Amino acid sequence: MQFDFNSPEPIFIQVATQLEDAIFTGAFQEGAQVPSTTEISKQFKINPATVLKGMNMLVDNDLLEKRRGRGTFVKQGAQEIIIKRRQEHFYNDYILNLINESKKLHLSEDDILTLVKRGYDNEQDRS
Amino acid sequence: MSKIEVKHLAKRFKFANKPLLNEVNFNLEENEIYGLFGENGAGKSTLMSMIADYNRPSAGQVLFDGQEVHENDEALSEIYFMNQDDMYTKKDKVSQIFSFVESMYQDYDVDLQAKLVKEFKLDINQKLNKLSTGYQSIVKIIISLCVPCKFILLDEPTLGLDARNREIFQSNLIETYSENPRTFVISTHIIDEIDRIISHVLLLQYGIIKMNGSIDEVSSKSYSVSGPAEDVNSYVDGVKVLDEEQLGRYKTVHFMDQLPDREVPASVDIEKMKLQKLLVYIMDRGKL
Amino acid sequence: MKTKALAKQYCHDFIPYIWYGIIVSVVYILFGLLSVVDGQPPIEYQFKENFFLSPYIITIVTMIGISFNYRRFKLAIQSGVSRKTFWKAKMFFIAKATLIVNVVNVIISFINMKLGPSETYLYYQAYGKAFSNVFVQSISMFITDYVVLLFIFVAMNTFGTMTSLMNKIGKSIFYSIGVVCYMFVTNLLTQYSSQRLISRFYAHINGDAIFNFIFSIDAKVPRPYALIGFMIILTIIAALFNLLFTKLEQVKR
Repeated sequence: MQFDFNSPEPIFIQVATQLEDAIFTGAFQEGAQVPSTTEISKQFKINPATVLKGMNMLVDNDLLEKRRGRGTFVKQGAQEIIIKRRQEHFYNDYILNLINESKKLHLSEDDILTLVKRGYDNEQDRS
Repeated sequence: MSKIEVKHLAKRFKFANKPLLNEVNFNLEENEIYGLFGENGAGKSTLMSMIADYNRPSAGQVLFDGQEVHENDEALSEIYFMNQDDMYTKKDKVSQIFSFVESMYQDYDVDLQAKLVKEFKLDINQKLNKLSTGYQSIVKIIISLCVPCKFILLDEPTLGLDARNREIFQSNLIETYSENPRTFVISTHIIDEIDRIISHVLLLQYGIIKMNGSIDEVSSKSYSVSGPAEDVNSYVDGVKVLDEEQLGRYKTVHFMDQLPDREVPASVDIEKMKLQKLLVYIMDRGKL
Repeated sequence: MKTKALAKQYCHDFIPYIWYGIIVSVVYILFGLLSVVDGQPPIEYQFKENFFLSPYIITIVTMIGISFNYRRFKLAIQSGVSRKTFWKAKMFFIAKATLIVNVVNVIISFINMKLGPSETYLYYQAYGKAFSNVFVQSISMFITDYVVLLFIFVAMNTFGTMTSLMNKIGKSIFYSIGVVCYMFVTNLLTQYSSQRLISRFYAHINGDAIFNFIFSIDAKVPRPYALIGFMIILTIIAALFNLLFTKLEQVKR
């Protein structure tokens, strides 16, 4: 995990994002225990309340579950939820930005589609 | 829930033309970590020493759960103040000092003490006055983390500590705080070091509390906006600007406010400001 | 619990002063023996002459140890106790310290009495015939010495507490005033007119009677009851002043 303490995002949101990323990439497997608040806050020297706030966000989003007296675990199906949500956000986060930037660079819709095609072809060649 | 209320506190020194503290009002809630900041000589140590009844204020009062702290054994046993003075017997061995403190506090955390002694590599068979300045501070830090008090006031705890020992202090502070939550008030000039640990910011300036807020509140509205001067100017129009720098047409504006409710020009870059920077700007300008 | 723990720590810090006192008296005796020229007077006599003073030397040195107050205050306030509790711990400590010093002094006095005439010991000068039973006499001597020493120690500590309230300027002014007063009083005493005034005042308040009562001088068998009572009253007054000053103490910056 890494934290960018200069980003405009509040730290508890960064904690949530980082944990989510770890679940998404499979670093934290479904059903596995995630590090405790204390462990995270100790390692990154962050106030435990901040870490807890970030974790609770993921609990509210059904990604983590707290088991009384045992710790916090990745919920079954958490990865699926993240993928679904990120798919929804894909349009806003990437496509709209892509169009915005391409306008500044005077690239037409066809140019973009060609570039996307080229990207996929290169990808195939490499694998 | 215990709490400490500081009400209309003032401190004037004889022969001084200006009072050090004018009218200080704030509360310390249970289980929070406060950062107490201010310039040199702003009165941070004096304020803390009056909370712990080391000194008497010229006016105002300090209440612990509604009761005056002054001459109140019950309240004073819940407040521990680590200051810069030599309060313990300097001729004693560290181990003797530790057992004295243990005899003064029921539920003193001996296990944590042993752990910290090991981590800091402190020689407890040494006499206190034979230790280096850094290690004399470490002895005090260890005691302040092990005493079973609800309110722990630390005045420049890491002064004179090397990088390794500062790190040990921070991680142990967090660990003992998460296992056994209590209130810490930390005054320091190295703001970068603790800006993620604290949950509240207190800024003392010109004898009053200039800023008092949760860290989320403070840092979620402190920004640096940079870009071409015209774009930046039109974007931050109406915002209370703390400071600005200009390099040719490239301008950076620092402010503490909500981001303006208008579209961000593509040429403008927004960054969060570090607490250290924010406090320096506020102290420079002398107002919010 | 805190009171006792504090008093224990104060005692621990105080013990070295008893050693200092013993060292100073040994040095004093050695110097006395060095000054003997040509075996005149005999060295044995000279030793006795100096030895009987050692309890007083120990008392003076330990008195200085008792008077240091500020660092005790710092230790107490750092440990989260009120000034009143600190005062209690202090009084507890002084009572204990007095006991230790008194035991040392009494042991030396017993050795002293074995060596020479018991009249060199102040108690025996006043109350030598108080009790015929040696055991009872010893206890009476111990108690009398204890209360006198207790008053001296409490008074010294009160003095130390008062001076610890002052800063350097205050202290120098305070000591200057003390020296001036001393000079003034001694000057006054040497003048005939003031001597007459004082003796008249002394006669007016019936000074002789008061002194005779306190030291039981006119009694057939002088016993130290009045002195003990008088000293206890003085000790209580000194202790109350001590509390007054202790309540004003602050940690200096």
